Amino acid sequence: MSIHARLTQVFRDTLDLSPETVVEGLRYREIPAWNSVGHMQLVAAIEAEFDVMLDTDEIIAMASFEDAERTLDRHLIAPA
Amino acid sequence: MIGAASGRTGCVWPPLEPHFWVPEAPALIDEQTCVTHVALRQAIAQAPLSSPAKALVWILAPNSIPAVIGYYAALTAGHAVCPLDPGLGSERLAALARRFEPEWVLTPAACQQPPVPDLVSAPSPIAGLAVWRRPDSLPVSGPIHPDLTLLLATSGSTGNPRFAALSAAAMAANTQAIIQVLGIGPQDRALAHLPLWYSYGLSVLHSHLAAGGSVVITDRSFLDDALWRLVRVSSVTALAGVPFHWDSLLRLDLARLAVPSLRLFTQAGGRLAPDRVCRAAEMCARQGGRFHVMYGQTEAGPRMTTLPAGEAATRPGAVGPALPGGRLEILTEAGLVAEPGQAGEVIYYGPNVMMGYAVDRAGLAAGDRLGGRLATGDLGRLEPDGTLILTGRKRLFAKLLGVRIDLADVEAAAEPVAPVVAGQEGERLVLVTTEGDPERQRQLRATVIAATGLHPGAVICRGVAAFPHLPNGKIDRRGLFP
Repeated sequence: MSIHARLTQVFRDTLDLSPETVVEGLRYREIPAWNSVGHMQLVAAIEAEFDVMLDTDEIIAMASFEDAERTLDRHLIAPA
Repeated sequence: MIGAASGRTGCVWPPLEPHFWVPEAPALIDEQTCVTHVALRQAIAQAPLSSPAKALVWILAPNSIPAVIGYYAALTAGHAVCPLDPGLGSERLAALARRFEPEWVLTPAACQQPPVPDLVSAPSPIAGLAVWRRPDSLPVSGPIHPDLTLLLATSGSTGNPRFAALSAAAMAANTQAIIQVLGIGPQDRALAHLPLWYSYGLSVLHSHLAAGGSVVITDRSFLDDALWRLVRVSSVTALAGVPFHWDSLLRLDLARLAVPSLRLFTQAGGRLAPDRVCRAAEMCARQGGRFHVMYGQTEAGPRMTTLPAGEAATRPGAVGPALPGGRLEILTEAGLVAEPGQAGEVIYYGPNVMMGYAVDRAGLAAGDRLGGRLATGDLGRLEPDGTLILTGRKRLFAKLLGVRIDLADVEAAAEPVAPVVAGQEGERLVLVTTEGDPERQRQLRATVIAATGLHPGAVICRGVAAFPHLPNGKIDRRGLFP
């Protein structure tokens, strides 16, 4: 599965989204489930799924699905 | 002014700095503006909200400067004020309005429709707020007790219409005790990010304004970088958080957030695990800050104890001695006053205890029924020096994100789908059910999420073959939630 598809699944599972919900363009606090609690759960789920550790700045700046994707790209292309 | 308390021991209500030492100092700050103490008093004076009789005023708005001005204007007019979660939804609000008959409802100016049926638009004396009135053609069914100043929801969003009825004297006493015990002064500036319909959020506002300090008001999330920019640029000194906020702060790390102006940290609104209390205290100490663990209930306006800074790291599980003017007692199951070290129900005595509960308009007419004694339903023991150690709950409540949820309400909501025993594990509400079908379990979760307004990720469902029972035939909850 691509990173995009795996991240989409993490969003769907964590935020309890229906299969037809479009995650592209989704923004923090746009839907009730993506509140501050959902945000921390999302961070934990992303870290578990991709085996990464997000920085403080990344956590509080992650305001959309695309932000999460960019953050993840940075982590996954960085040399181990 | 109706029902106002002042004078003795410096207690004031509404909670504004009484000596007017600092007229030009900031009182309310947001991302655009700063309102000084003198400007705040002027704004309150220009918004009389007068009516022939004492009225019930709902504040139905997210945290904002106009909402605070409206709240203070309603208190100053001597009304009974009830800040409510604007996210409750129109059905729940309409049901509450039928029960309590609010004469005034203040909403954001952007609100075009009456927030509950039958209200009519009235001229607004407060910029940024819309004012809605109950028409004279619909008289209310009863008067409001002269001592009543504040009505606060006791069970978050479960739709249970039980409110703590607090007197002006109780609120003034609690505000003063908080100022004293935390050492709040004109130099202090708190972040008002906790909602104003939550007793802890209100207490932060009250204590800082009454001490001549200021608050930075925001509706932003704790996990929004703009909130931390606001903390930085407005040099916030005080931060309050429920366990969720402290869990998040430990993950984010104060040092990395770069907010060196913060020096007074408080934690209340539920139990933070002892190892996390230690880590939080150490994290705050590293930037020269004080960390206080506190204990309270909305029924006490809300504060009952505060642990002195410095003890958090060395006394895990401790929440401190009673506030000045208050007293703690432990009652054993036999109803006897416990010896130090012996566990039982925590009983609090103090001037800040509510008058009683109100579940409808008739309840607003009632005077004090508790006489300053609150049976908390929490279990604990007292150390020889008077420090309270909490050990559990007598009543069946979950406390998620500082919001108390009556487990009986949850189980009743789930009942039509399948029998459930509800409990708390960490920051999650767990529904244990004998229903094995995944589709029915999904329905159970959806039903409880809808009934409680909890975050979907905070509700999980677990199947068991059968509920364990105690010898007396009752379900063994401890067997399910050790």
